[in-house]
Amino acid sequence: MRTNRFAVCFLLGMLFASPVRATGEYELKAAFLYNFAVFTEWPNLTNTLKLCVIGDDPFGNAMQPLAQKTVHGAAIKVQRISHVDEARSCQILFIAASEHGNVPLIASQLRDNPVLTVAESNGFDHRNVAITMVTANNRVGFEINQSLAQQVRLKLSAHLLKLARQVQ
Amino acid sequence: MGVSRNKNSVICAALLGGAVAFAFPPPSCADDLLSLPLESLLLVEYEVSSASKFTQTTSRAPTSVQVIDAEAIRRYGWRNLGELLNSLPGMLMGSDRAYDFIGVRGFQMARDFNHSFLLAIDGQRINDPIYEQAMVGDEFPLDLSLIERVEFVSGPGSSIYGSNALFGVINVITKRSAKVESGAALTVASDGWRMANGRISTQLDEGAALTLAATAGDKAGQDVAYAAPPGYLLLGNGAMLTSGVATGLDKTRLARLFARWENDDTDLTLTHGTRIHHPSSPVYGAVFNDPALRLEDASSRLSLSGHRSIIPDLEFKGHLAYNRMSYTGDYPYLDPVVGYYVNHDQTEARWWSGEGYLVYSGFSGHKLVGGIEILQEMQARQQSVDTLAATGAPPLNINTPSRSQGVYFQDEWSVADNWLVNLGLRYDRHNPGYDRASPRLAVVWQPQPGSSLKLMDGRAFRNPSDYEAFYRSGWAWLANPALLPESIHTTQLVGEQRLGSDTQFSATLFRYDVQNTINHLMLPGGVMQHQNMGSMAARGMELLLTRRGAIGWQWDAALAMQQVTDSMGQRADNSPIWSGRLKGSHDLPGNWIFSAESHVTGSRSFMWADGATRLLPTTPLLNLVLTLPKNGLSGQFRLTNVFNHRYFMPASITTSAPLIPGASRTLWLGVSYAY
Repeated sequence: MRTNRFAVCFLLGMLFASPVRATGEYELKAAFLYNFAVFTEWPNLTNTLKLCVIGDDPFGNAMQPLAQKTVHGAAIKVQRISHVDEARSCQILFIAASEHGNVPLIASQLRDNPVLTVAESNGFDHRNVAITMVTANNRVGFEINQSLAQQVRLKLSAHLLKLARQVQ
Repeated sequence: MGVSRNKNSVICAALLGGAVAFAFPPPSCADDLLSLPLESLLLVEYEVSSASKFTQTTSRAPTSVQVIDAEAIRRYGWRNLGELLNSLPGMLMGSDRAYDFIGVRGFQMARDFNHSFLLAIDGQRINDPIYEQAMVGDEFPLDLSLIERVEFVSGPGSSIYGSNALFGVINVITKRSAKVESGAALTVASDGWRMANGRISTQLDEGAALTLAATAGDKAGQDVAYAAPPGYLLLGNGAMLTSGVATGLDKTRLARLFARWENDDTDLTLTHGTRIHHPSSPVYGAVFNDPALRLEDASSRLSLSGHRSIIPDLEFKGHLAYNRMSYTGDYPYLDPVVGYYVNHDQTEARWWSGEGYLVYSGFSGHKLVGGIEILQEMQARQQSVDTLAATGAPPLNINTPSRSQGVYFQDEWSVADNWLVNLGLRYDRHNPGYDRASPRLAVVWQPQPGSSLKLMDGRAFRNPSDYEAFYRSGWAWLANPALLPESIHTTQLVGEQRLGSDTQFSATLFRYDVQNTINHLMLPGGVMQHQNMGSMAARGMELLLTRRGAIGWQWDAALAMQQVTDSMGQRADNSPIWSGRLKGSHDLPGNWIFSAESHVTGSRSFMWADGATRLLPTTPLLNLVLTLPKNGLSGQFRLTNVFNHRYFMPASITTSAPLIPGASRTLWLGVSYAY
């Protein structure tokens, strides 16, 4: 009995001690987002590259290392947005699972804006996003919808196209 | 400079790829992920799970791990955890239409409540302390739409998880709030099931989030035919049958509730589930075709869990939970002297469970884990009474709360390039009861990325459950407080080889030796008692070929072969020498997804209460699923047992009919809406 009481106090004490971060799937996916930025050319890039997340953000703090990086001379700025109107000024838009139902709407709103849309999911209808991240055997891969990227005046490097599982 | 930087990156990637088990890579690794070339990123393996006790990549895990993710759950449309598990290689599935029973590698005990499997939600044990039941049927308290992945670790898990982890550990990882799609779903089926489910997830300030989900289900009664030798099937009016139809039974009502508050490092989770069921099968020797036969299960759990960094390289993870369960059983009987009466079982348990462990990665080449787990029962009450005092049977009212502590230690040691040794030891003290030490040794060789060979040797145990040791009922069941724990010693050799980026092959050779198996036995005079029944041994192999890709077919093909013998060297009851699983899924034009799943279980025989041995022929089953993807409104058609193959499952000797009919062809229609 005494042993268990001690253990309960110990557990409670530890549970309320100071926090840390874990790593995993989304640290890896954040690194992919960084690479998508590296291998994409925007027609109108200034000194800031805005990486926006719409919907319930699955990344937590996994995007933090990106915020200290520059790509094509532009500093990466991570921003969470809640409305598609805000997405027009983003260079990359990550569409979280919670917004999958709104993908056609988001795509039609961004038809004339050079925004690289990225979503994640296996078997997800990716006609309306430029890049879909997929998982297989605990690894991350990606598919590219090049015609959509071209429509919004984004140039994806040959290297990126070569490493994609599928290009359409 | 550039070279060494790159080398560090590669080592870091290898560590990440090999997932530095259990702990969290230092921050420099996260930065190094960003400096990796894209082609290397494609090869990095992320952690098997973030919520299981020890996060690891499957190739370095000191066990063989099968993972089923949310995507597979969506594609195959499994309705409960048992159906999901049944898609795994070597898995055996049974049901007596009261509960579902799983078995693996040729071991399937009749009506054992799956107590030889440890069932965990987010790494936390949920087997109850009275039946030690792993609830895998409709009584499992989580809706499958809330599951991120299910990890099945085949083999002994007691060196980490303690009691019950004899044949495997089932770890159900729930979705984090960001992955829960707010919405609703409705399912109807031709067998009378109607199920409704609603989910809300919302992000609060400062990284906190809230998830709420509720499910209600109702199954209308059905007519099911049974047959038995003369003298077993008895109606409430005293008529004896050799065959008959149970009318309007297998009625079920269920409700589930899930609520979680979470932030980056702390979760507070409430799970609750109830099921009321009227089985068509005359379980516990009850009168046949009587709606008074009623089983009610309820379980509730409130759990606080978290993880913290204490100093660099030292992490803490832990949880503390308050649990309740109750079971109510009403069994109608007909006594030649006193007539019709109902025996009423009432079981209630309340207990605290908690665990804390530290992970230290400060010594080069070592990953050390040490932890404690406690279980403190406040109540473990079993009651049984006949509604008719004239039966003269003494009522049962016992409370047998116990407490247990487990202390464990594990070292993952990179002894050389490509060589990993995993040493684990857990010591369990069960009071009152037995002390047990459970060691495990695994040697993992990874000659190149994508190839691994693992040799594993381990021991596991299971304490007799309170039900097995102390339950008695009227004149029909005797207690047996002298039961000894079951134990197992296993040796496994697993080879895994990646074939291309999407395909993986694995082969497992295994040898299981079980001592002191506990089973119920009919004593002279027809009285039942749980007893230690001697030893059992299994030798066998499993082959598995898996393809997972973004495009094209995703499929698994598995073949399991084994021979299980009892202490007399006879082939064990209900143990097929082979079983196969084939499942595949493909995207069709027009956004439809087609999935098919087939199970074939080889023939097996079993001995029933009348002393006769019955042969169950090879059973092939096929399920087909069509899914419309999930943009907003989505739909699913699922046809199970497509060819309407008539098959049977073996009944326990306590059931009044030897063969339980399997489910006939059933059409499921599901509609879900996510916003």
